[in-house]
Amino acid sequence: MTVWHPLVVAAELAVLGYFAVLNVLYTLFGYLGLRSVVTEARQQSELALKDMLERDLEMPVSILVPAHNEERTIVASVHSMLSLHYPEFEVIVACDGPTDATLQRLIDAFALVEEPRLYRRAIATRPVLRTFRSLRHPNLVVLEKENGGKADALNAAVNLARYPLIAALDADSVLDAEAILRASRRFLEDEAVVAIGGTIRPLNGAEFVDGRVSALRVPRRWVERFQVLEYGRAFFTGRSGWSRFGALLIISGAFGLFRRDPVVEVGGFWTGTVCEDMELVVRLHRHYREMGVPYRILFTPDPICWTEVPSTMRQLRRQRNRWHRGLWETLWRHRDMIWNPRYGRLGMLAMPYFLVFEALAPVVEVVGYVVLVLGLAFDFVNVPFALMFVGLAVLFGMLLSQVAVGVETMLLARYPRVRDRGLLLLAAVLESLGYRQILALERFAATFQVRRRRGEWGPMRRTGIPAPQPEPEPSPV
Amino acid sequence: MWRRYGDAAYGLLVLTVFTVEVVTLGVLTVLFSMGLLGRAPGAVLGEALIGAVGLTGLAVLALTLYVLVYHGLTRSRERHQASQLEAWTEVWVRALYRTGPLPPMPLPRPGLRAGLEMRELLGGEDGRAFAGLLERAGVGDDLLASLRSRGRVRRLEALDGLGWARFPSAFNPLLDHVRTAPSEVERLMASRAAARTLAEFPAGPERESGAAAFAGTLARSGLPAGAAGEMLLLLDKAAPPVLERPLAIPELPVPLLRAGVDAIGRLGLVDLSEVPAGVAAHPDPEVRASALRAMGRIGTLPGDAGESVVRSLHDDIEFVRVQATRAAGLLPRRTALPALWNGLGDPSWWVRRASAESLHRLGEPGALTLRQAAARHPDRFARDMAAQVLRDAAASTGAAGGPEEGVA
Amino acid sequence: MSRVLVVDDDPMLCRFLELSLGFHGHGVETARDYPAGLRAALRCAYDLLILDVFLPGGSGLDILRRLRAGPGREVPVIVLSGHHQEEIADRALDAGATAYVGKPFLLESLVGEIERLTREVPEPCGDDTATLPTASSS
Repeated sequence: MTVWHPLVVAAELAVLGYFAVLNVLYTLFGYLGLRSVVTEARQQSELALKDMLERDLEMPVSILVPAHNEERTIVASVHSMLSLHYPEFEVIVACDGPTDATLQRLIDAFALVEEPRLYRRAIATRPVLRTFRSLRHPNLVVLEKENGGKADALNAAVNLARYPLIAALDADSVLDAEAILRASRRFLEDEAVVAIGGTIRPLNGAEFVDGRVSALRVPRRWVERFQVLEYGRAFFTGRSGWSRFGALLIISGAFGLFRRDPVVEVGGFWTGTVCEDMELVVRLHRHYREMGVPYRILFTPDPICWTEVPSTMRQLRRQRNRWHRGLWETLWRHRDMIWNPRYGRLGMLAMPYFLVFEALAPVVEVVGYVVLVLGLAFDFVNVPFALMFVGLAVLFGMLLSQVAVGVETMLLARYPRVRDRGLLLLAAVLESLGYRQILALERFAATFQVRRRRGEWGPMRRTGIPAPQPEPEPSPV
Repeated sequence: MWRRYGDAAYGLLVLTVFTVEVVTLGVLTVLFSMGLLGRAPGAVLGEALIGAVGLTGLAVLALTLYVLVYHGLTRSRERHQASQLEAWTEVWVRALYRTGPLPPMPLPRPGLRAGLEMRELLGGEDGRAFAGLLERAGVGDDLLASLRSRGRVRRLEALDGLGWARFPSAFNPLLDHVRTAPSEVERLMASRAAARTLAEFPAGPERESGAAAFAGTLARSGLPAGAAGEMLLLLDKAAPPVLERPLAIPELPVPLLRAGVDAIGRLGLVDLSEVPAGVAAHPDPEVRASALRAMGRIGTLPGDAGESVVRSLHDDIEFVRVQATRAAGLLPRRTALPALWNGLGDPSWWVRRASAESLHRLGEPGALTLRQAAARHPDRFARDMAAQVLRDAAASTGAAGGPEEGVA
Repeated sequence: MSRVLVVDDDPMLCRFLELSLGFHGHGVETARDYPAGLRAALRCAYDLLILDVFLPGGSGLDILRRLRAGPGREVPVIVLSGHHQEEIADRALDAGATAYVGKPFLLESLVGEIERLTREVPEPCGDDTATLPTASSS
């Protein structure tokens, strides 16, 4: 017993130290992120956006939409994408071997006609079976291909894309009307920019006018409310800060804008992972670092894309499991970059950070809980101390959420009602009581499933944009 | 869009809160490590822990309060601002219709905002007349004074304001600012404002000399070519004198030359078609491609530019061949049809596509060649491409044409 | 002297049109969002409507469609929108707009358009079941 005592306490201390360091890092990122918001808010010129809209200044964009079984939402999503404020763009929907009526819905809604299409197969993909063109919207292209997963569908769409910029977009996402305009401006103003990620926020609870988000209310379920906080916090756990630091590793799959040529050059999206978005960004970094060519991969704190988040705990756990496996897959594929000075800040800081503080975080967290329980069971731990530690952790979690709610407050038209704000503040308290622990456990489990469930997606249910609809339909990919 | 107030204060609050937290966590870690080694008594640890919980609780409370107070303030502030803006709109409309006096300087923020928005709302002569009114009221002097301020934010706001207002008198100070501003953001905003101002100059010697000064300043501004290109497009009718003689500008960087040539094409400046023609054989392939694209956009091949096009059809570099193929539609039929027929058999997909599209744009003789190619071009890929473009044309008659960009 | 309804969420634009059209002898009322705009439009008390496309709570084009489907078949409607987009102009004209004016505009031409359109149509409402409240112009 006495041998174990210091061990358990040491483990507890290690966990404590780990979170102390993590929080120092959050502080740093939070500060850098806020600074970039403060400066960007002042540099942002409405005039520049107006000029872009009114003159022929833009870079045309191909919007790529991989879709599997999305019969409920696909028509509304494509409508919303077609109504973007942008002078020249095309929408390419890649139907990845759907087993439901996704394709038929599109054919009916947009008067699609089948039309063989020659294109350059710059990236190898599963066979494309048919291509369609809309009689009503000259800038809509739909392709049907054999099922090959999301990355494969994206690659097929990249092959068909004819414009210099590509935007990878989830079928259940809705873009802010000016999202692409704001992002593409950066490509125009700086030729070294190869990719831009935008802020993603949960769509659940949004109100629509004309296929666009017109107002944001707090969603109905607590699971969704917690996620509103999580997406807000993500801002502090890195993206903005890393971007300023020149080592942004994640551009969310829900919305990223890339130059097409470099994406083709590095071989497109990798089909061997369930997190093709992160992996592609890492590969782009790697490519440019190895070539020694100056480049920039940026994050813009502008809120620009809304995506539907899971509305039940079951789906959410599945999603987080997948994300976590994707993180490990990416880190494993590029493991030689970790602690490798050849890759600069990326190799010495960003990659190790993701390994230690993202990939291993659930392991440490679960170990912490286990040690605590053990300690309590064997009476190694002073109960009031333990309770206070738990209290401290809960409070700190609330603190981060609160900071995120504060950032939301500075955004126009975000959860404007007092009731909404109040609910978010309350959610910040409640999420520490179970929700976080369940997700930590799920990610902990995912860590040990990486090899066994390689490339496996698991069903995703959609509840539908714009009007939430019941009876979701499971759809194995 | 982000609100532009309260964010700095919030940043400070967050920084303070986080610093306190980091220190607290640090102290706790140290104390507990000592405790493990038996160097810190339990009572001290307990107190430290209670302190940490208390501090964190206070921090959460402070942030919550800030959010609620900010929310409340924002609501009343925004309501107040909206009514202020309306009141100021009235002041300016009355001044415009000469039923009220010009407001005294300095203007409060909503007064300036309302004036600038009205300036932007009114087109053509109306807009210029209203700008004159703003200037008589003293808005120009006021903004120029802010431009010399030491505060970066004030300077940025002044630049934005001048961009909206487009006062002729601000043009030279803006150019000076492009030359001297410390950051790229400011240089960019200053050149945007200058370009918009120059675009409003009436034709005449003033516009000519302004354009020359603008061209020289832009060339040395160090702005990225994409941004410079954007500025050139903003010039609108004032663009020709700026773009007339890019090669006369000493040490013009190649990307800017490309941007200039590109702008000539995008603005469709027929009178300047000699400029792209002159650089169609430039050693830099990007410049060659831009020149060919510009001529394609304008739709004329001046002088002996046709020879450059024919030569570029065999360029080693794919994207130059693509642009040459697009411009080849402008060659005399006798030359164009066989050249494009050959292009259909090019190893590059993009060149084949461009050849087929150019043929399609040539009207009936082109369509005939395209149909013949679809039936009996010796190259299988050429036959496929011809058939594809014929189908595309049938599917989208009258809809969007072929891709303008998108070449590798 | 005609009665004009402006539906636009930009308070400055509303005030601007209210005053400047007022100087040209027109009575202007404004509505700032979709529900208010729809209610006012369907009251049918105006000689002409000026609609913005993107409104809080709905689309100006929907107001136009509702109007055209019901009592306001004949009322001239000018769609005023901030972006020079042919696509929006097309959609507006498809929905039944009489004219499309993009920003920035020349006051003279906007006023000219209003005067031309209000001269051509003598009765604001083609449907005689609609109630005609007394004009309430400032």
